[in-house]
Amino acid sequence: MMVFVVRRVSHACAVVLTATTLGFAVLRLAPGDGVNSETSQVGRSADARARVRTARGLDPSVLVQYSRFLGNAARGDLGRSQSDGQLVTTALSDALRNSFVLSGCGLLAAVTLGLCVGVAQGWRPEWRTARVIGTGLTALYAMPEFVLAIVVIGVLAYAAPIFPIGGIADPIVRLTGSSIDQVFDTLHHLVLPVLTLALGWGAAVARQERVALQELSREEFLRTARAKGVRPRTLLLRHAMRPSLPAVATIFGMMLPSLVGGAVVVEVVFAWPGMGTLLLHAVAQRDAPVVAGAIIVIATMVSASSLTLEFLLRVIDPRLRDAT
Amino acid sequence: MKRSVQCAVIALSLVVIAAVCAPLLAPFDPSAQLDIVALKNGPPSWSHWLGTDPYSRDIASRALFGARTSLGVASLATIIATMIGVAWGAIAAVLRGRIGPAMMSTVDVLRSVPRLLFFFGALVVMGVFNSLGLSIVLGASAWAGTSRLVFVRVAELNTRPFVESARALGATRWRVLRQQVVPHLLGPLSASGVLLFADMLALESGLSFLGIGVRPPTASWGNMVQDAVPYLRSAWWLAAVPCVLLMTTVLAAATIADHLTSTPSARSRT
Repeated sequence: MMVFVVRRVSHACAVVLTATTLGFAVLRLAPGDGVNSETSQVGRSADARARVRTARGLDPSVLVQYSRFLGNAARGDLGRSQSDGQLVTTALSDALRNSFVLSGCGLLAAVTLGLCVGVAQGWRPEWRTARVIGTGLTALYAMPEFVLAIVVIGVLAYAAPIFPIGGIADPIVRLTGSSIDQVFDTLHHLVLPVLTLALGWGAAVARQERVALQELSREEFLRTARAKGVRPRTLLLRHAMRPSLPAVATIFGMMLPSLVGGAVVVEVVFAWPGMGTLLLHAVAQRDAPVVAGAIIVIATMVSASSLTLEFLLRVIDPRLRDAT
Repeated sequence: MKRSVQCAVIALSLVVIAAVCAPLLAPFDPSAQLDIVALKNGPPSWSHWLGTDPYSRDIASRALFGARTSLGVASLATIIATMIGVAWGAIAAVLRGRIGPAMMSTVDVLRSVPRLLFFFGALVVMGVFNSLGLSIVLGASAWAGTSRLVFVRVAELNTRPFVESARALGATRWRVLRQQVVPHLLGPLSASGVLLFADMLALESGLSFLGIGVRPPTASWGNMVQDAVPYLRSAWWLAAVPCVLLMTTVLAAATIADHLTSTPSARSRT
């Protein structure tokens, strides 16, 4: 167990360090150092600009700047945005909260959907409806997220105008509605992006759950339980599903980094003011400090969540505890 | 072969042929604005059988040339990623001591950083990419999976008798790697390559859709969808054409990759 903890934590640290280095590289390599490009510096002498550079700590060697950047990042100081001078951490915090809401709900919906379909397919392979739904879900998984999002918008926002096409809140409700109205309004705006994420991610969960259940169905402890006269429902819920879940969670944790891309696209399509939208705007403006900050924060979040997931798995699944 | 795999092979070949022969098949210049007033968002007709886009360009021609861009970028990126992945994984598997495992730990770390972040970083540093630059960046950010696969396979092959006998005959490590081991990787690599191709195609179109991939006026399926989205309600066929093409191609490639991974013929070659 100790070996495992040390290895996983050092891996997570390495990931965060890589992301921080990437962020620093973006800052240093981006054209202009924020002094030449600033409007307040136009028309100043080279001497005056050099003084500003010294004052901002742009003079010393790259290594010194890198260590200073690391130290500041560790203290939660990611610098200021080049486009509006706002603190990067302030700009990121709202976006981070919105992203958490969207991705969290998407994850929950994806796991629910995936487990239902996976169980139906794995537990009753002869059930045709389940097989058709499962195949459909796999096809959706192969689709690029933005295509899925456009189909969802086309069907549920245009053809049948039930849900808003995007945004996080209706401006009128936000100004005049009661707090309960506002909560319902946000939920209303959440449905379509969450549905898109659930359809995209759910297939991965369904596939793992189906394979795990099919493998388990040959196990002898299930035959014993059935012979004892355990009811089918109890057999599935208590005897078969429990040992199948860690496999699903492991695969899902491994996929986490690649799922971030999908979340970015979904945020942009549905104009959800989260990290993805922020990152895209910052890239469009070539606002290096914000991009660097977003890279660091997203990579840290992903790394932290997969670390948490793996530790939770150890707690839940006794079979894993002795493995390193 | 299963029926679904047959359909996938046919669909993918059709798309590839269409992409290769685009200049012969396309009825119009893909970037020509034919009549900005009369042909804005034109519905399908006899002269423009898939309609015209918001800038009055012929959608059928754009879809054909878009296939060229999208498939070209995706294939080049796949080739680049596979080359880096094979080199890295094979070298890591052959090196003795701590260097090999260290190389693979590096890959694991790189893999845990979301790929899109590397791309966004590169974009801020370099500004605009052309199609070649786009494929290089996509390929350079996608080789981690391939190198893992190659590492595991090479390590496994190194324990086989034929490798042992080659070594006993006096062949060096590098000669064994080149002549005995790498040819055995073709089976698994073709499966992973097709899957990577589907992935790259989806990624390229996603980036072009976001406006940070292939630049207009060069047609790509992704930026065709981007052009069409504001008119989703009034002219849905604008988005439908590239979306259907993308779905078909990605799904076909994924089906073929699935078949290649699961058939014994691919496995027995290792």
